[in-house]
Amino acid sequence: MTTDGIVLSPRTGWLDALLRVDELLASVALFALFLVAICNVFMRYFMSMPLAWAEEVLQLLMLWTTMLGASALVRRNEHVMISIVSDRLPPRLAKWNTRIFNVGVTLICAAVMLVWGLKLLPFAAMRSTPMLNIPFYWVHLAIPVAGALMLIHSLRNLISPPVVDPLAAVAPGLIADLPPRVHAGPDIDPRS
Amino acid sequence: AETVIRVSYGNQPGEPIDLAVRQWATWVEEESGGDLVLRPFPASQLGNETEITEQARFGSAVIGISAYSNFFDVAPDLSVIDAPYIADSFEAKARIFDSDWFQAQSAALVEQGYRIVVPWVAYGERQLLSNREVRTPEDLRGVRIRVQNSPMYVAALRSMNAVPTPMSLGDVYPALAQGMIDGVENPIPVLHGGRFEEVVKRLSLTRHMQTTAPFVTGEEFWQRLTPEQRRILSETGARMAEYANRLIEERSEADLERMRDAGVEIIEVDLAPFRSRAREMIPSAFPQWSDPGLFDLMLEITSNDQPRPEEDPS
Amino acid sequence: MAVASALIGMLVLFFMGTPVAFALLMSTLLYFVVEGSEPMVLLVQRMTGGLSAVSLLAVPFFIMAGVFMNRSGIATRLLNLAGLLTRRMHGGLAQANVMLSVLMGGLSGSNIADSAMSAKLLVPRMTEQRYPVGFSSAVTAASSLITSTIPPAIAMIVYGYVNNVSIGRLFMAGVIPGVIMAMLLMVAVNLIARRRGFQLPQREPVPKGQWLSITRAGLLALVLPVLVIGGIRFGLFTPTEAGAMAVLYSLFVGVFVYRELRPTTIAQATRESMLASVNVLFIICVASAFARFLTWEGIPQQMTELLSEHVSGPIAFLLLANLLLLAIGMFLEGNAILIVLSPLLAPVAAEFGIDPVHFGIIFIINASIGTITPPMGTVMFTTCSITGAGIGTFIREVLPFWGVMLVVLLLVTFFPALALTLPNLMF
Ligand code: NA
Ligand code: NA
Repeated sequence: MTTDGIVLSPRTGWLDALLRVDELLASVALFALFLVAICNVFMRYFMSMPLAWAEEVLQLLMLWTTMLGASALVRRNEHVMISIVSDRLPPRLAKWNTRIFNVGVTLICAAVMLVWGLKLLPFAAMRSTPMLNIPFYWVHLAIPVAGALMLIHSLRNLISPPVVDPLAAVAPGLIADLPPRVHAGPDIDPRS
Repeated sequence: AETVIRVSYGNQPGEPIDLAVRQWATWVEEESGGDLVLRPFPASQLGNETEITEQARFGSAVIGISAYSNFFDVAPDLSVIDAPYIADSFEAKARIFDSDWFQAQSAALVEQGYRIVVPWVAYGERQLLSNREVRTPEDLRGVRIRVQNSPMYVAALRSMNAVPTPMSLGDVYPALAQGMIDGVENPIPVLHGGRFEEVVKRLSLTRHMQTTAPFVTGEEFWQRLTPEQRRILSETGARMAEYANRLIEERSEADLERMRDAGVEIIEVDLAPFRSRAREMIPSAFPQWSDPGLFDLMLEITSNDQPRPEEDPS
Repeated sequence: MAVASALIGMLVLFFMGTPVAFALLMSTLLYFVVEGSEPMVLLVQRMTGGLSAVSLLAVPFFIMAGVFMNRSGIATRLLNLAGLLTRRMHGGLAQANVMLSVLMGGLSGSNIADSAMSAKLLVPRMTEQRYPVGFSSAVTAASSLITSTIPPAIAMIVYGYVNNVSIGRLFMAGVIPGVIMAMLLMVAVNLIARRRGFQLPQREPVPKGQWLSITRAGLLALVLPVLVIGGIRFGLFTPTEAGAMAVLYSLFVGVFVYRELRPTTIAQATRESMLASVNVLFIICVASAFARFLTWEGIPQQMTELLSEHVSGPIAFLLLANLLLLAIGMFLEGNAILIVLSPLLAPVAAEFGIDPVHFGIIFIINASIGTITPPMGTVMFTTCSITGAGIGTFIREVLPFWGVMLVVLLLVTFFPALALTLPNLMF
């Protein structure tokens, strides 16, 4: 599957399309953040009526953007990391290194976010945001939702280990229009 | 083994609340023979007020300073304590905390998993610092005043006829300097602490709120303590509150003088029109209250001519 | 005990290739398991709390503005301008590389983004002019640190947020150190280029028409920093709103002036910005949970006491802090350092009477030097993986520039006026 000329992973199909929903929603939320912030500036200057609710909506959207985006980064394997050790390991060991220290640890963290995120929800009923009275439920919900998605992504990554692309991880977007670097398959070190 | 309790508050080290909490920690250590340890965390190091009360509810060993309007979702009636113009002095306001109404409210709070350790310290009397000569509500028409992002403060400033502008305290100085807002309200030590008098020079003594703050923990954690430990915390807590109140009063007077020396014009305000507007407008802003007569009930309690019951001379 | 296992766990995971954010989360988890008495929901709650400040929104906004500008072809236009300005110098393209970072500095808040861009655009041209790839990579990486010193800068937003320091003042404070950094780098490039005989100065004149068109195209981009700084200075916007205005401006220029942005490119650029921002924001979120438990254990307080007892004065403290940060910067990621360590050191600095804005700039320069230092140098990795330079050659070539950075750091440390003059003048 090619995106902007970078070959990410060989996965295609309806399930992959569906699992990309986190990326889509997070992008929409980011654009919405920009629009709300701009609206607030204009309301203040042209209507002298600052939006009292802007701050709450911005916080809510920022949390959802971050959590869903973090899940998308798990699927793309683009979280910032150092790969000095795995770069020096023979391919077979490198694969196991990735399975344990990258995918495995992510899997545990995702499970914790899901389980304790759900435990946090009943507490959220005790709180709502000051101006719009949005129940904190909607704020805290981002954590278990992202946890669940990350869990699915990392389980899939465990079955077929992701391509380790440290470059994509440090500067996504800025290398988007580089010439395509075709990875032969998930098990081959892309930098060899 | 010793029980360590973290005490969290937003004030900076050296401010009256910080000094009082440190004193509290000493008293607790003395009384308990080192069995109970209070560890102070100033400057919101452990999180903001809502985060801390939530942590207390999780069962964490933490006591946090809070505000009664923070419990709006579980006990909306309590927010009336932060309403403007329900008392004219801390002495009057203290009657609320001795009332049956308050006893019933704190029992309701226990049901929700919170425990009030110290019912109130006097956080300070709120005044208005602005670039206008504010004497009556008329003078506040269209004037943008920074408030904290909380429905009671927004409603309070609206009832005073101003345009409430929620903003974090850290942004206030540049916002005032550049005319994004016209004024800010808070107790004098906070106004002086933010050096706001460098940019706006008129202090109107609106006395709109005698801000009180409770120290709160979670009921689950409270029940884990022994009765003796609970007794020590409550008793030394009451002493701490008195000590804090004295420090805060001294500080307020000293800071008012400092402001005067810095060339701030001190304006006496006719409170009557502000009072009647608050009484008229605040109840309708809070349909969540169990009874719209709550505001009047507070007026009744605070204006009680009976002297307060003597405090436990500990 | 709990804290020690968390710290050791974190370092091990970092090196074994666990993503930075999950290494932090996992080690915080380890703290909870070992410590055993605190409810685990606290950890999850802290993750939402870590993002509760609107001032952090400036991070995605300034990243977005940078990506949109890039997508609308601003980088090539600025490169032309940089080339024009440096053509008469020894090692012209290397100088253009530095100059481009200065110009981009006013648009972009991220040194990683800047190094990726320079590595992609300029290093191939430098290779054509027979610059060794190690040297080109070193210049690219070192000069990208200018971007995170000249405002806007992600690091300043994060520092301001964590330590409750005015982001506007931090922005102003970065200008002079950033310019000094650029000038010293250009001096170093000049000396090296002369000695090693790189690219000679170009003397043939440029037609006036070309001069004008290149300058005009570049100036449009340079309006942006003026808008941002001016807007904050005159109280028109908060830094966060200035970020949103920067996005609006870059959208406007991209759609109506350069006409390279279409709805599909806007959608792609938004997604790219989202991925890049989330990479920073998620680390902030988890690192603030991690930092919270250091506080919970009273580590900052102990550190403050230890340092204020054993260090004799502000200068000794600053030098010690520089050493400490340089050492730690070799092993930790930049944003994680900011969030975990700055709340430990800033109160000590305050105790020694050091201005929080001054200390912030020192801290940020320190953390950014770490990004070009092995083993955990994010900028070094970015640059080398794009240019294909070996880490060994890179290290050899970056040494003189590393020296320059150290000089800048010491200058800013010993002359607070370099950082504080502008903010004091403007606010
Ligand atoms: Na550069
Ligand atoms: Na910059």
